Amino acid sequence: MFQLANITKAYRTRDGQRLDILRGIDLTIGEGDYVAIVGGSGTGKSTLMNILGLLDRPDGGSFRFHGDEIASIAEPERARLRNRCIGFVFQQFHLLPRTTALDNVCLPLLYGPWDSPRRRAAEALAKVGLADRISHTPEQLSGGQQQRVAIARALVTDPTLLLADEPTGNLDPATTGEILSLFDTLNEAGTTIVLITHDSEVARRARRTLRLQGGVLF
Amino acid sequence: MLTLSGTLSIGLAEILRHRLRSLFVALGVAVGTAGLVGLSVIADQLEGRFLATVQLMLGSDGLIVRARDGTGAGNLKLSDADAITREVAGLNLADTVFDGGEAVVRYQGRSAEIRLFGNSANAAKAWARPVTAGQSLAPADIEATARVALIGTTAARRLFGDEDPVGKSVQIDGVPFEIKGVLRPIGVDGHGADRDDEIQIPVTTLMRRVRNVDYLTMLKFTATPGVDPDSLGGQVATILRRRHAIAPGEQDDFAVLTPKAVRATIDSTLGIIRILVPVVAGMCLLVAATIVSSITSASVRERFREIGLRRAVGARPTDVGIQFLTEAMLVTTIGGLLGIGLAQLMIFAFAVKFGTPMAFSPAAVLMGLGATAAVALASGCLPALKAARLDPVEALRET
Repeated sequence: MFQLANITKAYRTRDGQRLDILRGIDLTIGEGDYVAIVGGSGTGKSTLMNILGLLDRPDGGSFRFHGDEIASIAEPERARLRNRCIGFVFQQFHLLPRTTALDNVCLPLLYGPWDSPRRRAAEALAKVGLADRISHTPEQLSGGQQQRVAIARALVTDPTLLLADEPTGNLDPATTGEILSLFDTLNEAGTTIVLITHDSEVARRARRTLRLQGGVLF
Repeated sequence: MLTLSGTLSIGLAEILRHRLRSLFVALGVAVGTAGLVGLSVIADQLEGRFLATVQLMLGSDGLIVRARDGTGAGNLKLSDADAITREVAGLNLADTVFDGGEAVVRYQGRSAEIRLFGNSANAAKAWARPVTAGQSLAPADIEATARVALIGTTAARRLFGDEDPVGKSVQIDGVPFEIKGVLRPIGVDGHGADRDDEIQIPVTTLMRRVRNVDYLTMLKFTATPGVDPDSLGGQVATILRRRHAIAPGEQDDFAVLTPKAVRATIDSTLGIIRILVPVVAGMCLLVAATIVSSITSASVRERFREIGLRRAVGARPTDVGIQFLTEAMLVTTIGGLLGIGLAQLMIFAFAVKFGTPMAFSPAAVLMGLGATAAVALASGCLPALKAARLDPVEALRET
């Protein structure tokens, strides 16, 4: 489904030095896959996730989605693909403050031709076990509940790929377990998941684990 | 791609989410718009009213001599009027006036303080002020120091209510008078005084029977057709200085008013207003624009993560830009409408105080909305563009 071949990405530091983050990533993600990408801090995990999520462009290499080359398509088209095919889950949840869970989950539906957004959002919240919290704002929810709202938001468009960047990084062990069980359930139901983490315990829950080191995947 | 209703609903939701900030922006714009609209309309009305007063007092052929208050009081005599008409060719005496100030007028149990004027029999013609009921003052009334009075509509209402005042007996400062006629209503003058709240009696009666004086407060002349009253002002002044024995260099104890001279005074006063109004209004709008711009900028900065998130879930750069622009527009529009409401209040307050017509001016409303839209566009565009250009990766990393 997703095919990355020889993806490279470099940054320039403040003093003008070139910093190679990704030195040739080869990665194939199939339908229903559950991949964990593990690496220490500064290894380029987030860069890889941003490229996979079409938020960032690689400097070189090939990125195919269902066989189509999408490494260099224009931003409006990338925005459309992000909206239709990709769901993001972030470490900091990134929920809109003072906005109900339902409205937070509705957010992606504003940017696409989605029918009955509120019903869809309510269903997504039910799927993550928050049917009774739809009118709560993030301030009224626990960390685990907030992350589940964020997962519902990622799922509401039935994405081809769920991208999770350190989804349990801000959660206590018990809640971490809950969220990972939710991922298991979602994956069993057919959702493709790429999970990025520094924690090999978390990574163990995935079907396969890849290690990012020195800008390449092992 | 965001739909129009989607854009508006996000805009509204964001405005509600940041109530206080939105309120400040709206108030800034409201004050700017109110300043612009209110001041412009009031300046226009002021000008209209001044000019109407000049027209009422002088017309295009009038010349008025007025005794100066204080030092000049008591010096202007009927003989001055005779001398002027005798010596200045083309000038006819139109009216001799004594301003009696406030007088206590009683009718049966009621009493009211009403402005009292003494006029000649020519008053109706001189001030274009005929009676609408009863009769005007007649030469015989002046001759005989008759105790007859003409009453303005406001004064009549205060004293008589719904009764017909003509033929009724009243007491003016204790002297009995009969109401002979009702004066045509003329409204409020340039000083904000209700000119219908007054009583006219024969000037001779006022001088001899009521106030016991031998002088006048005002003379009105009219120029014969083809003669410019402005060209006669100097001659009139020379005669009066001679008759009043005013030494060269000493100040006149009278003032000569001619149409052009008065209009020039008004123009110079209004000229200041005409310059000040746009400057003040412009400053108000500039302040409003600065507020909108800085608060929208702050809002963009504060909402980096939100922008990043919106981009991540499928917003295009244009969607983000339009969103911020829409928010600025919505708040500004609310502020603009508020400002137009405020302006109407200003105009209303002004109308109540000075009796100007309380016009609701569609042109002023359009101008206000136009100014508001300009402020919104000018000050919302830059921050919106900045928001649109934000790199989503950078934006999401922001903590």
